[in-house]
Amino acid sequence: MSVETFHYDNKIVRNFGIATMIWGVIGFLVGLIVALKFIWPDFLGFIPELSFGRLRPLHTNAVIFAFAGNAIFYGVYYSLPRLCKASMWSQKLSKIHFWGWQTIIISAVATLPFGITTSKEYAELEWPIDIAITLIWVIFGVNMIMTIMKRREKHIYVAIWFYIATFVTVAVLHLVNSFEVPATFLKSYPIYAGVQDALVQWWYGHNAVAFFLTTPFLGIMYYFIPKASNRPIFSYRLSIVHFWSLIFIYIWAGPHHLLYTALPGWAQTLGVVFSLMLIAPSWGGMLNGLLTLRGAWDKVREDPVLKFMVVAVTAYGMVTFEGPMLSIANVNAIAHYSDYIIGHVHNGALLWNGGLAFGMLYFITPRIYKTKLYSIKLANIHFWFATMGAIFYVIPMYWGGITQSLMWKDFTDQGFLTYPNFLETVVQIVPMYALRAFGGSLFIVGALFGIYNLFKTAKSGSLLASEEAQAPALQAHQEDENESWHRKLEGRPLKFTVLTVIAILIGGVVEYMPTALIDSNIPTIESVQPYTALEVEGRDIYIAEGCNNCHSQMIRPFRSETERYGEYSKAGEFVYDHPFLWGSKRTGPDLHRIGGKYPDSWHLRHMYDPNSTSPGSIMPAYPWMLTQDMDMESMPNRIEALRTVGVPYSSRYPEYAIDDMKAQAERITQGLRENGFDTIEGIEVTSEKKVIALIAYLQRLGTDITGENDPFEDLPSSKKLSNVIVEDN
Amino acid sequence: MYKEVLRSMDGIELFPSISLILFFSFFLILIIYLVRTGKDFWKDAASIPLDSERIFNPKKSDQ
Repeated sequence: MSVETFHYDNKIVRNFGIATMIWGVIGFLVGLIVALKFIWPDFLGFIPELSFGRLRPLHTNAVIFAFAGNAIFYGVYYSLPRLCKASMWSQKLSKIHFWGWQTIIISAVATLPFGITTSKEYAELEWPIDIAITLIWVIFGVNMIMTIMKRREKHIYVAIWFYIATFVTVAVLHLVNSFEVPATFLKSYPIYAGVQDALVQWWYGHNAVAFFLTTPFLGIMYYFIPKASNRPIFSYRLSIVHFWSLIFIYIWAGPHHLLYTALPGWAQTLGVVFSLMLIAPSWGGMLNGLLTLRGAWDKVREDPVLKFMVVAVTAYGMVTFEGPMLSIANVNAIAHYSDYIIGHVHNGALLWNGGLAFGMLYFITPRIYKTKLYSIKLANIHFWFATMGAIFYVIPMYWGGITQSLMWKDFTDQGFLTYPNFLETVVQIVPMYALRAFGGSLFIVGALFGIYNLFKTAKSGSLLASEEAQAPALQAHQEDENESWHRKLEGRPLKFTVLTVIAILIGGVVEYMPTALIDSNIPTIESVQPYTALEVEGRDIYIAEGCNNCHSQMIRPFRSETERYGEYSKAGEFVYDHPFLWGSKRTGPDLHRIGGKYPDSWHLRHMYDPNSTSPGSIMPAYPWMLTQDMDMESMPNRIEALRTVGVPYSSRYPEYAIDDMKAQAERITQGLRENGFDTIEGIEVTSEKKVIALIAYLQRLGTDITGENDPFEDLPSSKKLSNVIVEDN
Repeated sequence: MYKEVLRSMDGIELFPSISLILFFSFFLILIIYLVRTGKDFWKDAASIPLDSERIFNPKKSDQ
């Protein structure tokens, strides 16, 4: 048997490590900024690019795709070649992957703060970036699969299965959720509307957690915990069951994000049942990780790598217990839309993803720099800052979330809402927001200690860019009659990949197809009509400003909600909503029935200064709504794109779109003037400003169900066209 | 368009049930298989991460 010599590329590992640290700190800092805005809404002034609604998606994208994303690649590029006993298939592809991924992150930084967003959570990036993500992801996958094909170790270790599942599933999720029709270079509309869009988005959103923040990190756990503790995984057999059951069950759980919404009941029930089942594989994996350390707990006391990893796996256990519990409908009724969920995700993100990421950094850095960790003491300090930071973050959020939710639902003995003013429930938990910001700050300080420590470690050694290794060549495939079937499968990466794809597709297809197929799943409401051109512009502004980050548009069928907001939301009301804007968090009140609730002048004053209409409000002011012009020029293109995705505007409507906008805007402005609102604090109110379009949209919200008004009445288009809306598109 | 394709498939309502039965049988068979193969059968696979640096020294008592 000939022994072959090959090299591990440690440079690409180091690069991904540096990117993990830099983007991590940036992502955490943006998180701290948005957290401070809860305490001081006017923190950083009223700069549009730094407003909460625009920065929140930047924070989530930065920590998920930039911090956790680079950490995943850091782990994969270190462990995969070592598990395959082979170099990465192509160093060039590794490089393209690295720089391509960083470019995508930079393009997120260059678009999200400027209001260029699709509004779909964790999929906010616009269509050109979506295409770039697809390309770079395929490059990563090809490089990984080819490395596996060229391996010198016959058996494909369990960590690699999780990497394969990550690659194929994220590819499927990203593709399906990004079907959109471009209207302009940086604006698109999804082909799905309303309920279907919500279902696809949360199928994606939930599985982004599953296959971006869980499966790759489980692969990392299966490699690095045995490495760091120098003992094999507790039970390899358990890991096989863990893998197949986790990937199969996870994909079904998305609808638990949509309980009590207008999503069909059967889809909600499926989501609940599969979420509850998820606890079994999740805890199987968690126990497998922890029990690996049986008899080695003395090492955990001394080794910061193991400390981070043990807390990570423990947090994973907590979060995966909490997840199924939160999926039970009546628990969800209390926790959903509240800060509890923010606590839940940060428990996972800070400790599970953060813990494994930092654990890996402390493990790999000394090894590729051929040196010792600069300071174990400092790493331990980092560990305590990270752990305490997470605790100070998570517990106030749990406390605040439940407090606020119970206040929303509280009735007096006479049967009235105890806290009819939403604001009262917000003010109550502001101290919790302050504690959360303190916890987040601790976590960041810890991370800075970590980076300093790793920097000093690297300085004390020198990078072993190309690490030599030797292994016997893999014998050509010989059919071994006695080999059992799963062992055979584990030697065949392509078959394995195909089976993984089948496992994850089943859940998605079964959930989505009936909704697409059976019209009765989305009962149409005759009086529901498409938006006018001005309302489309208002809706696009709502999306650009990220209003959906704090306001839901989905009233659940609870008395506490119908009392507060009005009639509960029906599936048929959203058939023209490309994208859906149901939201997932209520920092402010639901807006689905806001139309007609207040006069136009209230919205005008509220946008300029929320405190003028709602004293004590923590909503940021949007003064630029009164000074920036709306975008009329691209409206015909946008109407055309909306027609393509299925909104039944007449084929000639794009011609009249701009006229309609001007006429409707003029009508609203005239109304404001008649009521004495010519100016606000010296700023003249004119019809081409963004605020007018936003008012048009907000006043339209949730009003169609009454069937009392025709939105196109008296607009130029309805005078020129016999039918603005065609019956069958 | 895709709605038409799906509508035209005969017996499509059975597909979800078939897939569910298939997968549950898969898990059942998988578990029976794993129980039957026994722990030692997987020892070599489990030691791959440790093997790569040739520092693995299996001790029975640790297993």
